[in-house]
Amino acid sequence: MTEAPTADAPFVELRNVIQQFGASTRPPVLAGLSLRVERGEFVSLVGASGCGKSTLLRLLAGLIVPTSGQVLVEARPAATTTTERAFIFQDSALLPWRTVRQNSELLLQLRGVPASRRRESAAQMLALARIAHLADRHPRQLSGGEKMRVSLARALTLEPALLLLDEPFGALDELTREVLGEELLALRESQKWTAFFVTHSVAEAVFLSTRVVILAGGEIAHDVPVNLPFPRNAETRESPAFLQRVAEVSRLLRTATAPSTTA
Amino acid sequence: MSRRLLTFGLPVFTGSLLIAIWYAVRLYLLPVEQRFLLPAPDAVLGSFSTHGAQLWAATLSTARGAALGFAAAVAGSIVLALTLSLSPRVRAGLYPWLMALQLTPIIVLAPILILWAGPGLPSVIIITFLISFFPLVVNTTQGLVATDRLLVDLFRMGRASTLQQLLHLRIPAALPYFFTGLRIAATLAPIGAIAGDAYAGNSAGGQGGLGFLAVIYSAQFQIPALFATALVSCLLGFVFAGAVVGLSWLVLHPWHDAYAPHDV
Repeated sequence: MTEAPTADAPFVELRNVIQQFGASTRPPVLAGLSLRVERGEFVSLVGASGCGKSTLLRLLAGLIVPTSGQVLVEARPAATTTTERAFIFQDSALLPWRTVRQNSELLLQLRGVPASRRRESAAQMLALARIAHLADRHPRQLSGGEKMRVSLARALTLEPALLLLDEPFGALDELTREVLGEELLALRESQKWTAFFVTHSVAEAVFLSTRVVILAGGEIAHDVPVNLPFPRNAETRESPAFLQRVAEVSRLLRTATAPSTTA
Repeated sequence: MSRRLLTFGLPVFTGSLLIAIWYAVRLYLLPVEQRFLLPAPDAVLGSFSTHGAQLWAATLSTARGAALGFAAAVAGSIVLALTLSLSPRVRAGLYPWLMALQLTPIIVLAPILILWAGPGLPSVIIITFLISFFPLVVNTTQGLVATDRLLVDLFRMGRASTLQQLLHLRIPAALPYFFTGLRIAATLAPIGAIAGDAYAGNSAGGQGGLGFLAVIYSAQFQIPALFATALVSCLLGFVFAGAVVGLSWLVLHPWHDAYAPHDV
């Protein structure tokens, strides 16, 4: 059912995706969702718990296949495409028995990259994530923010074209969250990946994204472009344009997830 | 300082108290004609000078049986745990029979095993194996199966092979469970060896272990020596448990939460 990649095909395309878990009498998690995302976009997914945000990421990762419809990355099904993708999990998903360095080398090690090359690459990413000085520590000795930096460094060693982030900063305190968000955008300047970012924070979604997609009832309720200029920094957070966007998305989110529309 | 005082000082204190009670019971509660039933602690220690050589030889014999049976249990349990972790079907098919083996009292099995394996070391090893095998299998299997789902997803995303997933994820993740099983098994192994000795220790012409010695001393009514045998058996148990606790610390302390310093 796959077609050859064409020049005008979007980087990521979801066509009428239905995702059903368990008995068919239960409402589907995704109910015929369609979405086109171009290379270089930063898409945040917001919505009430259980609206299918994480399911969408798992589909894009190829960890699950849709019940029906198509999930295409570079015009190939996500489950079989070779496009390099990295997944960032909420609790950083580090191996507790490995040091920071060994953790950041894991994905390259699984690919069979020789030790010297993966060491070099990991060291580079640890430096980018500003945790080179923690290389010999174990995860137990790190703060939540530091763990997330390791997770990020590990993902970036793959030089992914697509970055899938599932509430990565959800467990962190507000300040750490903001700092990591700014650094994520800084990394994006040098490494042109496309990102899908699941979050519960509207402010975070607006700050990071070029586009905020509001999910409700397994469908896209609103697709809001965010045209704030890059680079974005602490000043961006105080600008009227930013605050206005946050208010707008909050309002849309509230109406989209109101009980009457999700029934 | 005060914590160290508590960990080392308190056991010494309670131990001294128990010995004092022991003496008191013997002197003030027991009628003179029954005092032989509870020999004084100094009499127990004194029996080491008369029976020391015998006790030492028996301890070595039991330690050897316990160590070999324990090693066999570790090796066997790792193989079986890996097999059981393959699929829920394998587990469903084998677990009930493992339970059945575990629930059959060794005391009943021992005479059968001795008939098969003959008296002496082979039977002691088999009995030790049987008694320490089960906790190892159950814990290690649990560890291999209960891997964090997020980490499994991480490995799937990384296109890890089944072997990579086993080597870099499931086995290291199972280590804390394995050591839990190992600690239980280490306390059971000397008990199994001594129980085995008691039945199978009288290898023709050979030297029996501590269990066998206990049977002999009790038949000969050498009560202080019987107490000394109990004391030595207890110490042997401490050696086994201590070795495993040490090994567990060595492997797990750099990363496992259970060994995290309190101030982190």
